[in-house]
Amino acid sequence: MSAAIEIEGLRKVYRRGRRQITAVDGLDLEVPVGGVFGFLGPNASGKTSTIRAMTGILRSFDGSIRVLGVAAPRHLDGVIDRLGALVETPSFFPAFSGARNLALLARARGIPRARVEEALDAVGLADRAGDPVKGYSLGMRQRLGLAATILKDPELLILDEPANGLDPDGMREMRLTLRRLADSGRTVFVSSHLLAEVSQLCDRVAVLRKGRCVFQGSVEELVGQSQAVQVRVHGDGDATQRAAAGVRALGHEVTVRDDGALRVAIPPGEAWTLVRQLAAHDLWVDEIGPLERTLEEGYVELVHGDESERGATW
Amino acid sequence: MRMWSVTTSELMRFAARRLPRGLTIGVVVVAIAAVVTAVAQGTEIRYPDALEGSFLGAGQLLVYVGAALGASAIAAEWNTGSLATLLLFDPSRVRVLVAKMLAAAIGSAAVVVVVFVAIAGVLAVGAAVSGTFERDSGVVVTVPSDEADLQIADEPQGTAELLEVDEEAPFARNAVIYTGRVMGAAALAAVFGVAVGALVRRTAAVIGGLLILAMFGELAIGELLRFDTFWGPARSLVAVAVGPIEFAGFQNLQGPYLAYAFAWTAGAVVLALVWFSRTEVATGPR
Repeated sequence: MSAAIEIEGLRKVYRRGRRQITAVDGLDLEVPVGGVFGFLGPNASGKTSTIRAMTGILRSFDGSIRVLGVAAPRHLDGVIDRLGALVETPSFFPAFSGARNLALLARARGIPRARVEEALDAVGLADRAGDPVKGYSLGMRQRLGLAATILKDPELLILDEPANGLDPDGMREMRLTLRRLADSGRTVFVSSHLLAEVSQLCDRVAVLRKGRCVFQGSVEELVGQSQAVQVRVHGDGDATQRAAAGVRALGHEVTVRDDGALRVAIPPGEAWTLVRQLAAHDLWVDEIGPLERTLEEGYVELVHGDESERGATW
Repeated sequence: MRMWSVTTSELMRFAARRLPRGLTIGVVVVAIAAVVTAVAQGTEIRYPDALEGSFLGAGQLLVYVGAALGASAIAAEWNTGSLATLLLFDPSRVRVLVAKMLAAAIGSAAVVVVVFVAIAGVLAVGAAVSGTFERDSGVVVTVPSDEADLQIADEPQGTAELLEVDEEAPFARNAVIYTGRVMGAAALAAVFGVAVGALVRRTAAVIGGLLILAMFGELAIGELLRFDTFWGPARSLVAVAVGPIEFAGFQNLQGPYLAYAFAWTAGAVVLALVWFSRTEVATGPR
C-alpha cells in the first residue's frame, strides 16, 4: 500500500430544496503513508465534506475513495480498527462522564478498558475523566475527541480541525501529540485553517479551494513557489520611488515595503532583465533575490489568486 | 461476536440513561404513594385484586414506555450528534441499528420486570399492613361489547365480546404469564420505537404519533369501517400485552392483533434499515 488515502474525482452536491450546493467538485488527492498531512482551505471549501465521505458519514457522492487500501464507505468496516477519526466537534452523551463515553465506544469494538485510561491520560484529561461531558469546555471536548480517536491505537488518524477551541497550551499539546503519533510511524491527516499550526506540524499539504485541490506537495514547495523578487536600489527614498515607477511602467506589479525594499512580481529567473532596465535609468541595484514567501502568502495566493472569484461560494 | 460487542455497549448505554431509570422510579413512586394513601385511609388492600388491577394498568402504560425508550435510544443520539461518533467506531449501519433494537428490547423488558416486581412488593407490604391476601369472590364474568373497556371483533363486522374468568386458574402462574406478555409487548414496542425513531429522529414525534393513533386514528377508522379497532400499531401493540390471557377478571380479546403488531414492527424495521443504511448522518454542506 503506497498511499494511506487515495481520492479520485470526488464530487459531493447537497440539495436544499431546488438549490444545489457543490461542496466538493472533482477532488483528486493522494495522502502518502506516514507523516502529517495538512488539508488546508478556507471555510466552506469542502474539507469537512471530504472527511465525512472518507469516514463513511456521507453515503452518496461521486468518485472513488480508498482508505488504507479499501474502498470507502463500502469496505470501511474491514479497516475501521486501523482508522481513528474525529469529524467536526466531536459529540458525546452530555450526561455521561468522559470516561464512560469512551468506555462505551471501547466496548463496541472490544477494546480493553485499560486503553480508556491510557487515551485519557495521553490527552491530559485523566483528572477530569469522571466529570460529565456537559461540564467540559470546547477544548476539553476536542481533547476527549482525540482520546476517542487514539483509543483504537490506529495507524491512520483523520482529524477535522482538531485545534478548534484549544487555548495556546492546548494547541501546543495537540501539536506535540500529533507529531509524536506521526513519528511513531502513523499517518496523521489533519484539516485546518490555522496556518501557523500547519507550518509547524505538517510534512505535506493539500490546499482546497471551492471543492478543488489547487496545490498538493510539501510545505517547502508551497512556501517556495513565490514568483517574486525583493529589490533594494542604491540611494534615498526618491530613488526607490523612481525605481518603483519604472518597474511598473515595464508592466510588473510592484509593492514598496515599509523597509524601503521593492517587491516585484517577476520570476526569479528573469530578475536579470530588471537589473538591466534599472541600470539603464541610472538606478543601481544594491540587493536582489528571490522573495521568501511565508506559508500564509502562499496559501492566500492559491486560495484568493483569482480576485474576480473572491467572495463567491462553491 | 462484533454484533454482541455492539449490543452489550448499547445495553450499557441504555442502562446508564436517565429516561429508563426515571420512568421506572416514577412508576414505583406512584405505586408506593397509592398504597400509602390507601393504608392511611384505612382501605382494605385485597392483594390479588389490587395486583391484577395494577398489573393491567401498568402493563398498558409500559408498552408505550417501551416505544418511548426505543425511540429515544436513537433520536437522542441524532440530536446530540453522538451517532456520528459511534459510526466512526462501527461504520456498519445495519449492525448499529439492529444492536440498538436488541438493546432497547432487552432493556424495556427488564424495565417491565423491575416495575412489576416493585409493584408486587409494595402491594404485598400494603396488604400485610392493611388488607388480605385472599381473592375477592365477586368477579364479573361477562359484559356486552359496548360496555367493555377494551374490545376486539372476532369477525370483521362483529362486535360481540366475551369476558372469561377462570377462577380456578392459579393466580401466581397467571401473574407470571401476564408479566411475560407485557415484557414481550414492551420489547416489540421498543423495536418499533427504534425503527420509527430512526426515521423521524424525534422521540416526542414517535410517542405523540402513537398516542394520537391510539386515541383517535385507529379507533375511529376501525369503527368507521366496522373493522378491527386493533388494526394499527398503537392499539395492536397494547393488545399483545392484554390479549387473551387467563388472568382472572380480564377480558378475553380475540382477533389478529398479534399479526398486526408483528407486521407493523417488521415493516418499520425493514424501512428503517434501508433508510438508515443510505442516509447522511451529517446534514449540512461544509
